[in-house]
Amino acid sequence: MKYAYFPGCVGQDSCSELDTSTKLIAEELGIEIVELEDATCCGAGFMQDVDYDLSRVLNARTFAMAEKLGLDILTVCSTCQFNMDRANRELKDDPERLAEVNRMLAEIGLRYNGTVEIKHILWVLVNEVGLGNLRRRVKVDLSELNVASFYGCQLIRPGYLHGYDDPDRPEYFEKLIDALGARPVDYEGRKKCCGFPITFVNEDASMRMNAKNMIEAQEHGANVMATSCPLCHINLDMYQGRAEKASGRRIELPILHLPQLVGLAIGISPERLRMKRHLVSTKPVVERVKRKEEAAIPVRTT
Amino acid sequence: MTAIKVYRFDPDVDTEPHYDEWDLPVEPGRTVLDLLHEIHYFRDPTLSFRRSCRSAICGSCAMSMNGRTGLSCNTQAKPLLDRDGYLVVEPMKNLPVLKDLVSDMEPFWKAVYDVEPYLQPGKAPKGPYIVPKKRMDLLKIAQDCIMCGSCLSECTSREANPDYLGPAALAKAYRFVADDRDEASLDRLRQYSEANGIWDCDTCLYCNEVCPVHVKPMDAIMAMRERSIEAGIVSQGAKHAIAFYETVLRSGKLNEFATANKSLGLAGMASQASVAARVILRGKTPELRKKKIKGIADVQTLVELNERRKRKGAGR
Amino acid sequence: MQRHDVLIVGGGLAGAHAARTAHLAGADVAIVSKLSPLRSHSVAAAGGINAALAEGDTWEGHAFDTIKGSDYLADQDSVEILTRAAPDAIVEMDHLGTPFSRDEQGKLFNRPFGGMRQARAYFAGDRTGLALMQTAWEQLVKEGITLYEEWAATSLIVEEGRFSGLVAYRVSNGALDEFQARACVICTGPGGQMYEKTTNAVTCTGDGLAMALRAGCALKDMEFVQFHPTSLHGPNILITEAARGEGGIMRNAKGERFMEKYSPKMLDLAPRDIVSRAITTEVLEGRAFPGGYVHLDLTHLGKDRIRERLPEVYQFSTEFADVDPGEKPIPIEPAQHYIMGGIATDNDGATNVPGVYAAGECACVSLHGANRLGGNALLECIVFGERAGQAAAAFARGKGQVAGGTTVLAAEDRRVDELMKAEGGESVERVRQDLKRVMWENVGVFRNEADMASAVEAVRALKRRYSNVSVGAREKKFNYALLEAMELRNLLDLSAPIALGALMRRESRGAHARTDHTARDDANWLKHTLAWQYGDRIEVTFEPVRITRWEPKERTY
Repeated sequence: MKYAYFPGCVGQDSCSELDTSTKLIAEELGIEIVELEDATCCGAGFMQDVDYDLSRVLNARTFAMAEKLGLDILTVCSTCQFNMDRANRELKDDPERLAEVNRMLAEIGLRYNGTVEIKHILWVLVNEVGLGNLRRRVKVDLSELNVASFYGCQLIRPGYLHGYDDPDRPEYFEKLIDALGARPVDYEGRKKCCGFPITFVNEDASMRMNAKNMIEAQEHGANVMATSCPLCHINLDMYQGRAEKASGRRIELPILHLPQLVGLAIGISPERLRMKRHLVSTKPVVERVKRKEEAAIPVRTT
Repeated sequence: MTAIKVYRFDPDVDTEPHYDEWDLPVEPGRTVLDLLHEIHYFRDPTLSFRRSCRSAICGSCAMSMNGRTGLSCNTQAKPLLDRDGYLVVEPMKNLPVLKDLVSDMEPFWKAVYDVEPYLQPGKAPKGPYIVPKKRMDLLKIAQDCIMCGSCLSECTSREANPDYLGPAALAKAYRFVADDRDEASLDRLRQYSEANGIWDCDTCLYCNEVCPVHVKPMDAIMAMRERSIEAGIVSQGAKHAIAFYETVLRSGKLNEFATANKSLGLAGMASQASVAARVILRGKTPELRKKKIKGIADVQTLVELNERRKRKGAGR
Repeated sequence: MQRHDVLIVGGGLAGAHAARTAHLAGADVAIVSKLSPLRSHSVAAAGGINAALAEGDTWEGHAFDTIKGSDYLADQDSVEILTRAAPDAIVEMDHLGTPFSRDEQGKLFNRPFGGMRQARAYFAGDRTGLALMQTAWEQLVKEGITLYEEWAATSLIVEEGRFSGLVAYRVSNGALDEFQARACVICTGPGGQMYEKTTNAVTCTGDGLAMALRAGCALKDMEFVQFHPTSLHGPNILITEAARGEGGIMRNAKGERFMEKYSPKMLDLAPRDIVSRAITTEVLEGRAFPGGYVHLDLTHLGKDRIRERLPEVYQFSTEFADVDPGEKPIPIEPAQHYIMGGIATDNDGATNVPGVYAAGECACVSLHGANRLGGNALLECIVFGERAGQAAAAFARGKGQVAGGTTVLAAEDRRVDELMKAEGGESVERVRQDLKRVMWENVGVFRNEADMASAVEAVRALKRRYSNVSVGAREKKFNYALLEAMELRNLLDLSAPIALGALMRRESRGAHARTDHTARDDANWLKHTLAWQYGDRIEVTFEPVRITRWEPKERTY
């Protein structure tokens, strides 16, 4: 398993704990990664709003870089996944368009032949590392964690683009949570929108959405949420306080990045996973895990 | 035989909805509408639902089936049953219920009327307009809309904001913005750039996903965003997108801080103070300045080449 | 009580055009529609709208093709009006915004259609009806025309010898109300649901035709029912003629292109009646697939062209028959599709009852005679919808309102009451299913004396059964069971003139094909039938065919 790693922007900046935990679990699980340090931002939909064609050619540059390495691309962000998947599909489906993009890439000494696949770490963990393999690697008892997954819209929709999970009944995340020994929580909001794309346009509506998903998760028993998208993480964690204000409810739901959850399970310490950076304290998660650890230590009697 | 559950509610009579259950055979090929017809014609004539063409072209029969909105006339019942082990039929979401599976479409139509859904042409030629196929094809992502409401039913932005115009209205709006024969594009884009318009879409992709006739409302909204920025129309959403874009062009990566700063402005940033304070305390502050990627010159070359392409009039 | 100048019954393509024209002529117009306008069956029309717009094409050529296609029963002066107005109609619709398909240079595309010697069907993908209906509806929104949506008209009110209003039933709350006006244009479209196999929507129950008949209007040429050759086997959803226009070929179970036998020149694009009979013959003579269907092969067109030119065919085929037309042939069979007959009108849509006008499929001018060519129905809705709207507005101008009419409202109230009160009677749906079977088996593609006579009797018997039906639902709100009962009455009222007209017409012409009178008999039957209802009797009179310049000849392709 070797991938060209596309870290994204937020994942190395305000959510740099995502990048850290990704690299830690990749090493542990034998996923060899070559970081595409020179890749540009995927556009996140916002660059596409300003100049769609430019964002596509910039993404094509990223694909060409990966193709040169003979590797597929690994993403850790639902938004990166969608924006790159979309561009990639457009290039693969339209030879004229690909030719036009290649004329531009030629000027910078690159060429994209349309052979790269883009995969989110969730799919790689389930399909390539394998659930059985993960189960065997679990060193820490997570059974007290009721984990509500949050996919992020752009990882499960549109069904006609990604082709991995049923957009109406996605299972990958829940299967992963189960394999890690935690308890997946079933609730509608796991498929819904966190609100981040409109936080700067209509914070009210964004926070209402945001709060609703987290409250619903809690009502279904969740004591932690895990997300596969750092932009969702910003809304769920950084803006949780604002969500509480908008809904008039206390939430206090710790939000983990998917690789952090995996890291916890396979025995990487919360400190190394930089779980202290989150705005909503992840202490409750750590405590639940510690409690299990302590319970497992046999009591010595003299 | 399987138990199919159907939502029943008459707001004039009932305090809350309930579900009725019937045992029906579900062979391959039977649509949800077939089952509803069997119930209505032979078991319970009081069940109310709209339908007409039964061939996915009139848009009458939109409803939620196993949690996802679509047309009952072209939704096969067996695959849903096989996947979920049950079959539950409910009215559309985000719209008031009039009775059982009949939704109040008034709010849907109101949003559509709001975008002025008719051609506003200039002076017409003597014969038909000359519009090259390539240009007419721009309408393809929106023109087949049958106004069924499935997209609005699933729209997460509409759920949080009942005043949001919604995907169908905005797809219809795009249909005219993209139509070379319409002369009101600028006015339209200005109107749709205001609150509850194109910038209120949260890009959740539900509309693209559920449309039964493969219209792409979200793509239409994105296309209007790009046109509105091109036309220099100012809005909060545009400001944010432009700020984002400019930081990427500068360093190759997003500058979160600068983007927030530029798009929110001083007052905006002040309103974010509570978030900012905690972010700083936790050490989560994004980089104030981003290091340029090594290949930033290549990025700039691509920007120039793209500009040149656009000036030559190359379409999307 | 609602008051307007002109009422348009039905908000489909014809109704929308009638409404807009009457409105622009200064009348206070209101549309009374059982369905929300965009739900009208006009949206299902797929392949195209004909016009002699291209260089080298002539309205005379279009007219001749139409008249020959009608097996010379069409009234030629009416056809001339239609085909002369057609090019302007296309241009008008384009100017209003219809997204017609175009070529790389920006000129309108056209495609060949059945029975037309020249390609002249203009289209918008393969959803032309949807595109035209959207445009018409958009104009209604623009003009702010009053719309009474989901109100089903039940009876016309005729007083002092002219139209004075109508009674309509509000589906949402079961209320009956009277609408007063000085003129109405009936545009209720198709009424094919009395046939077991039909491409029509479930709501196509010929309400306007039945109301007009009951109010004293004559129904013309009702025996002429069009069976569209290519409906999807099973659900009978329409597979557009455009599929054959783009090059699709039909084959029987032996793989033969059987149309070579029946129409050597036009082959698969022969007029619909000829193709439907061809397929039915293949079925009857054992050369079709078990289940009674043949294949429509589009595989040689390639997936790209199918997706580009026939996306709806692709959608229907995959969604409703699990067949990818790029890989496998589509299973098709004939089904009832259109009724050439309808409310008898003159060239301005006027019926024999002053103030009552009609346009669109529910009218019979006659434009299509014994068989309609594809692409002419959408055209008819626009051209004659506008003419009728204009005429109705002119009629209403300067006329006083005829007062009264409460007896009709009271009678409708009682009727609804009785239907609602009835207990333990027969199910409406069972009676309807029996009607559909009777009509399909006895007044279908091939007809004979004995079958049709038994149909006439059967319809009488069904009417008696109808008087004992129970609706089974008491609520007033969205009581579709009650609506269906009212629709069934209309279907029964319409089935009688169809069966009777077919029985009386002792010849074969166009879509009316008798195995006991196989030849066309111009000497005795070059005339229209007019069906009138008196109490519970149907009486038939005749009217000559109006011939201008095309002498009836043998119709071969």
